[in-house]
Amino acid sequence: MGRIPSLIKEVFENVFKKPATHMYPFEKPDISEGFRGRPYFVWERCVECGICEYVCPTFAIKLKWTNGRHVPWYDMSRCCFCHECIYNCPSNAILPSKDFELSAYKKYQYEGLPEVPVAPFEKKDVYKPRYINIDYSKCVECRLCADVCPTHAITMTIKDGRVVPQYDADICILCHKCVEICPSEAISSTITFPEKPEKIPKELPPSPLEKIGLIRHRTITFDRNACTGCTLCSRVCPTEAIVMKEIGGRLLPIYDIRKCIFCGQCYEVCPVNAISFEPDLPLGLRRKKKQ
Amino acid sequence: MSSLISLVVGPQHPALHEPERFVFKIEGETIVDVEPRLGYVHRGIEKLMETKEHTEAIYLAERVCGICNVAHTLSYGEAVEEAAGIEVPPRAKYLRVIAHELNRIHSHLLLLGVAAELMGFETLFMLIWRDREIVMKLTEDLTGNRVISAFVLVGGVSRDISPELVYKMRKHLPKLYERVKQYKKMMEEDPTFTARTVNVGYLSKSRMLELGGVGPTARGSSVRMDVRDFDPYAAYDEIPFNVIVYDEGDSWARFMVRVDETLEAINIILYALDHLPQGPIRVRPPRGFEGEGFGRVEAPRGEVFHHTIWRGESKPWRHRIRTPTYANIPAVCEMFKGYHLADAPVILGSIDPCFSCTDRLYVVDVRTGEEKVIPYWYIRKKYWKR
Amino acid sequence: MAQKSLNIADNKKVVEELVSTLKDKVLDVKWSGPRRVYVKIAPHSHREFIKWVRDKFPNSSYLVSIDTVDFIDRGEFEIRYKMQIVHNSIKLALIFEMNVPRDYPKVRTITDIVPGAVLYERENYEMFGIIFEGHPNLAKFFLPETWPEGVYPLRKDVNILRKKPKVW
Repeated sequence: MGRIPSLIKEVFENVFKKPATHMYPFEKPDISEGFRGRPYFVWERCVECGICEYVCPTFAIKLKWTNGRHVPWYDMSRCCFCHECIYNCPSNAILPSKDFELSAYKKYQYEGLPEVPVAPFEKKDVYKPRYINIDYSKCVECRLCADVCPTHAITMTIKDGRVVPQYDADICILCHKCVEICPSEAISSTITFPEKPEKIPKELPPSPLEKIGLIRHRTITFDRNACTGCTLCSRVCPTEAIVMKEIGGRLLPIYDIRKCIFCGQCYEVCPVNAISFEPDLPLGLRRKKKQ
Repeated sequence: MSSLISLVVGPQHPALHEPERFVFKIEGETIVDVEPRLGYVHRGIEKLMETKEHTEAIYLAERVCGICNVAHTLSYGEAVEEAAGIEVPPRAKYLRVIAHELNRIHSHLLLLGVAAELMGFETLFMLIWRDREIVMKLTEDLTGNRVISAFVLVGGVSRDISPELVYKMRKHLPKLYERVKQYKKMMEEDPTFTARTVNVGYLSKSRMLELGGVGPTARGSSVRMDVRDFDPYAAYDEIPFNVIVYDEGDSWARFMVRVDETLEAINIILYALDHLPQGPIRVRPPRGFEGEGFGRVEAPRGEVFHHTIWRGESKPWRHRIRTPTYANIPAVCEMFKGYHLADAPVILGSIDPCFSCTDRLYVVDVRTGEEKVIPYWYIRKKYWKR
Repeated sequence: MAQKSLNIADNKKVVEELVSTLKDKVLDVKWSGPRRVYVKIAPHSHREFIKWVRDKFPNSSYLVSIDTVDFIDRGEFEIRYKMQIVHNSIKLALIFEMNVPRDYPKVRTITDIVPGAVLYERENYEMFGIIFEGHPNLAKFFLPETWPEGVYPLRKDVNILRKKPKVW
């Protein structure tokens, strides 16, 4: 072969150049300005909107109630350093940095900050609603608040013989639909988050209807001796709270109080008047007699 | 018994850079038949995409392949934008082209270095990877990270380009152009390189079309196909460029296609920097919509497409991803036949394979000829000393 | 540049010729942009369409992929065959959509016309359970050998674990 490969010239030139290796741990690394490192949270500017939690693709940010403020807590082990939270934060409360030397011996879940400063809008006397208050002395047990809540933060529960709403602050998004729809204005929002939030208070005040002397129907009883098994009540029931079941050779109705809406159709349609309304809950759920 | 020997190569093997298993049936030194087996990094991404909204799913699409990540996010973005019916601003289209071509340059230089190392030519490997550092630094300045860029989002791009960075690119890219031209001259003349790649792994044009090869694998066998040419996306309908086609059909042609594409890519970036329009860089898409989108891009290895079907909710009904190496497998199995066993790494390297790994063991019982697969827990239970 | 002009006229001529040749099997034609057309075809007629494309353009057409969509509310699978034609000034992507009933998913193979369809048909078999009659080697490709039989992961009635919200 007659031709000298052109690689020989290249190799000869490289003999007189210094090596191209960058001795990393002993020299400082050469990082550009826009490098995507760890984000830092500044709670002094946070307006508690929740956008960073919504856009984070790996669920590394979680809003938690700390000292009365709903602030973001950051989990570095889940972060993928995409900087979506920084691009979308409306008040520039998240700062980019170039840190990448982040290894540690223990994995800390959800790091917060040592102290929680006052919210920036409160410094200017603008207040945000943060908690929903339910006044049980006005509640008429209509169940509309539980129907309309989009995240199921209000659910009905049975306490002291009444079917009343309970409130879970972790899921509530403060849309105020329950506040608008309550017919007796028993629900309102407050600006302070309580120290120890609880879903339902230990003791309930008496029901407003009983104070005036009105009866609130809370259950339906069936007279099984009079029932003929015609199944009309289960057919007209709009929510399928009455289901026919065969017991001892006869078809008898089985009643589910959770689905009943007290429309009264079964009462009207029963041909032998075996259905009647009671002002108290079924036997196992009634409140204990006082004194 | 015939004189055919079954040789199992992989999943872990020093000649392969990715985990796959090929069972070669050889007679003497010549390969007669090949049976591939993939699926070592199957992660169930198509099923997982049906549970994610588009703001999260674009980061999942990026991690399908690390080397061509801009191609996957771009393809996902195009598909969702077509389904939602939104239009990307012109400045975002040009920025996407710049990131896409930088990704192509870095991927091609990676492969050329790795192919040289497979042949034992370590000097060329080190020289090419030293020049690849220029491209990695430019990508870090533009997108924030060397490999996983997180640059393309649905509706636009995430960051803007500053005038200092435009000046820096115009200064360094012509230097890279001269270096790559030197490497092209080396590859055409060097006796080691040509002895191992010329007339190795030949596949004719009609056979390549029947088997469905894509990308530089097909362009090395004189099939003129390039998605930027027949179905333009982003700003490629306004940027002039050449489609590189070689007629030889062997491994040498496939490597030369990639070298020429690198030179073309540098020209495309310089053109795009000169004609960058002004304007916004991002448009917000709606959250729940209805439609069908088909996004195709030309990744460094071939044609990638993402096909999505949305039916009114905020999560898709079906998401289909097709990667280019999957389409090249039947072609590469045909290319092995008739060549020596020592040519197998070079032929496999010439299609630029990109699969991934887990652990599994394949046992061939020589006495009875029976083959079975043993899972890891069995070995651990039986042979682990307490 | 000259190559960037939209070649709608040539693309339209090819589709019109296809429709007029195989008239009774074409159910619907929908254009999505100047270079992509979705053609709905009658059940079990896919072999004639693919053969027509391969015979008319033997040196400039190829099969892009085969995918399936599960429409559980309509009770059928929709199999899509994507072909691409690149011939001088004709640059067209043809997508053939075909419905197959969900309880009896059996379709004839196309590996004798297009040998490169081997892997696509194997993948659709293991993910959806569609049986391609005449395929040389219909076996699992991606899933491990210890995967249970009869469980097809991409069908809509196979759920991956998710937590459901608590409702009263």
